[in-house]
Amino acid sequence: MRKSIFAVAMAACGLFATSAIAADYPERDVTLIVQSSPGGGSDIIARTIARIVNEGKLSSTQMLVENKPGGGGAIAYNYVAQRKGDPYVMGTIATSFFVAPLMGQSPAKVEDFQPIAVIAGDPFILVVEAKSGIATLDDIKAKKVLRIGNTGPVTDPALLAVSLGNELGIEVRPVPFNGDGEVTTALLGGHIDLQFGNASEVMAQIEAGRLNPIAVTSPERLASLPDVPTFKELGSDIELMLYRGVVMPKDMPAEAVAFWEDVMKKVSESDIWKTQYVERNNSVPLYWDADEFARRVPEISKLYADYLTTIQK
Amino acid sequence: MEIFSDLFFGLSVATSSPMLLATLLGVLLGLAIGVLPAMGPPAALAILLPIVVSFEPTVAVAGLAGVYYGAMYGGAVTSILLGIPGESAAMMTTLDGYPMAKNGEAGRALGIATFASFVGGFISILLFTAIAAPFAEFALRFGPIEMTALMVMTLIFSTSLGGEDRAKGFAALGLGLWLGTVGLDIVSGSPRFNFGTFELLEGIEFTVIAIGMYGVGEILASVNETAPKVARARYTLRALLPRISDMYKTWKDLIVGSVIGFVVGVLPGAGATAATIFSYSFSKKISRHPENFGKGAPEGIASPESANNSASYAAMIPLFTLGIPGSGTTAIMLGGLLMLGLQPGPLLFEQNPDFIWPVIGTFYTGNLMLVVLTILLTPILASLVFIPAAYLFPIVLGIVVYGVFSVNYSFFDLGMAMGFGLLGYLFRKFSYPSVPVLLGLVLGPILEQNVRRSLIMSNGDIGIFASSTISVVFLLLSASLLLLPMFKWAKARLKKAGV
Amino acid sequence: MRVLTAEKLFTSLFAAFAVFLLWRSYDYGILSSTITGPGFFPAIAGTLILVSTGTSLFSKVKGGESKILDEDSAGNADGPGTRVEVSRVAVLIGVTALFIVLAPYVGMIALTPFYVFACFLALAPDFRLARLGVGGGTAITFTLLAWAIFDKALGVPMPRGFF
Repeated sequence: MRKSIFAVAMAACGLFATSAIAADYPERDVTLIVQSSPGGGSDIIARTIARIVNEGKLSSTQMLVENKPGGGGAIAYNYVAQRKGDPYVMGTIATSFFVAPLMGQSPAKVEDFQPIAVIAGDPFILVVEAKSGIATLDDIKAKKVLRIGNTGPVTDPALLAVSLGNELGIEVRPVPFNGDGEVTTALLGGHIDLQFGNASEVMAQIEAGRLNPIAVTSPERLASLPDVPTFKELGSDIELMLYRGVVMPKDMPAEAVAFWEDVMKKVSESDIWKTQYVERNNSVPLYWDADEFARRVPEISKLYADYLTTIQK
Repeated sequence: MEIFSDLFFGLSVATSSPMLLATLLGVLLGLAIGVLPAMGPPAALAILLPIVVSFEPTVAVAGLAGVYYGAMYGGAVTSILLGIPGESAAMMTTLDGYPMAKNGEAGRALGIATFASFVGGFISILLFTAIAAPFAEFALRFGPIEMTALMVMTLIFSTSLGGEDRAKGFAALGLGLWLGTVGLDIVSGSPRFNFGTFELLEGIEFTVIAIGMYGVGEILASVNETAPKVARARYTLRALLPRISDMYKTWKDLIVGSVIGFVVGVLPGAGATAATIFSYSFSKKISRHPENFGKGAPEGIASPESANNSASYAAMIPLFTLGIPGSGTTAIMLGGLLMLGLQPGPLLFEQNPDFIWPVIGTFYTGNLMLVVLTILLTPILASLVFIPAAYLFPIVLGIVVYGVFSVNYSFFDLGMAMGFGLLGYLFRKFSYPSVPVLLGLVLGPILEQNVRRSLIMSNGDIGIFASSTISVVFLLLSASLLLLPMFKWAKARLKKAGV
Repeated sequence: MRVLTAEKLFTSLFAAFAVFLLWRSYDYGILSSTITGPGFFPAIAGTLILVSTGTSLFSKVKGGESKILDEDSAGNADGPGTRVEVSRVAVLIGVTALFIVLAPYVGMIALTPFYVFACFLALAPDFRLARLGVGGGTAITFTLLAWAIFDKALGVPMPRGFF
């Protein structure tokens, strides 16, 4: 919906900024565009990052957070992608960053962005209702038919459900709901058998003994659940996390990339990030710089592309 | 009687000055947001979240919750005065509130709405205090199968709202059902009827359609009643004041609304709007004068208003007892709790009694504040009906423009609202009822998704709907609702033939 | 009489739309393997509309023009007629469309007083100076309030245009 004249004007500003970029970058406030509404997962991350940057004076100017929800993230991604060369715009990403262009829902492709850094990964925990009598992957295998809740066919939990079914050779029936809350409710009520839950959302249920964890999708065990094995340990190939990071538009001057890469590294190492985000949400702390992130983007994108071809058959 | 000491503790904290202030600010903002068309509690909470995260958790949540239930009071105001639902759960209130205001009884309508909101809220808070935890466990038994049956029953109930021309009513219902399918299909993941745009991928915002068809449609249909100096209602003091007699005349509907609101409000994915539809239809069914509904019946305001307030508290039950958000609004509240460093879960009542009971305490104080505030404001608000349409309509159009834009910051939505305004105008001209469109839009997606979930779970076996007691009861009730009129009709025919 | 013809046209268009829905639903897939597909529910909606509008059209034609719906010429004799009404509706829609097109360039706040004033004129075209003054005052007051509430208090990001 952004009008072209507006875009051209902004692009002109961007070009100007590119040529003028110097030691005193950034000269203006930087806007971090969030693809979810306030209160959503990416929003919490964005606001935490902005707080660390502003309170710790990691940048000479302020970092502002702006929500552009809608279109399954497409509206925000397109907004960022269109501001080519503008070093004062960046955006948060989620699974939709990779999936929306593959589904033909967003004109902005993953190649239209300059990756900056990934600073955490949110793992998924396979959980069952406590009284279901399921305790291990073998119990699941013995069931033959399983109903797994997810939040739509092109989400991480759905992808994980299909991979699990293929590996164990059982029939999975992926039941889509409107949100993780509804999935957990259905699981607690015994209407479905399994859920690949986001750690932050199912941890309270695990602590209360309402849900039992079977395995986690992170590369290593979670600090908060030291007794729960990873899928890899159980001899499975499943490994997937929701990568939390930031991207900028393409054609970014190298100075800007280096500057924000460095800021994000400091963010990921800060105490506030570790206590307010990583610990609180049971995330996995990690840091990918711009090069590593750029190298991983096609890999992750291919993972989803392969999955999409399997479910569309 | 541990519950009384807990509640007493909660109330004593809730009446401390910072808590009272937070509650007051919350309910005031909620009232204001409820009054503004299009902007509902989710939008208000989203705006408030970044501000309150720096507060102490109890104070912050008192404010956030205040916005939520305050909006339920405020939503009735524009519904009654302008015929525009202030937020989606106030949609049913327009049906009788607006005609009553046009008859020159705006104060009376607002009075009924305020009293109904208070009673619905109060009954719900009492139930919340007494049975929140066991009731949340009961609600867990509602899975896709049970929800399907409940929605079938609600839909059959609500066909009585179709208006006089049955055929046109069903055509409008079909349109609503279709509108509910626009956007990404959550089962297959493919887009439906988005006509190549990504703005339509997440479907059409309910408020955009409601404001278009009701608010804009009504304005367009009355462009010829704009002669200057002609007030929309005659100046009388009576028009400004509530009537005490309405309070006890509608007692049945207040109880119906409160109970239905509480039960439906707690269910996952159902929501306050579905509760108001159910409650309004139920009140119409049990009324001795169903023909007055839609023409300014007091019961038609009391029933949905008590339901939406009741539902707003019930919707917070899964959040506080299980740590699971049951609606979009409570999902944002959960986000707020997480930002505040609180992880609500099944242990919240046990581990954080000094958080949860003061918050429940503020429900009581907040509800009292709201009833006092709204009663004081009623004469001022009601005097809006004295403003001639020639001055009022341009301002209302301006409010619609800003309100609709502010939902998603989108001009696309604004264009859609005007499109639906035109459709609403044509519907009025050609005597198609607008209500069934919105009924279909609210109930359709819940029904469709749950039918398909159930069938996925059973791999296509329709027998699954008979596998749950709750579902069988609802389906039998639905069948009897359908068969009863036919039976009556057949009996009347037989009698006629016999004589 | 004229309204009745227009109503028939509207109902027919509605029915045609239902046919479009049915066609699209078939495309989306009524059934996918053993369960209802993405097109199942839209097909139900389409069928409902088609049957209902069909019934409506049929009964209209069969019952003749028993019900004349042109209330404006009948009930409201001294008010302006249908032609005025339609033109006012068209102007209001047009003005709003213009607002939507121009707002991203000119700025939403800057455009608002003109929008409200235009609506004011469209609803009651009366060009006496006093009325114009009141209209202008209303427009400016509303704009200031909208700015205070939506921009300042609620922080809605609105296009600012040239300002």
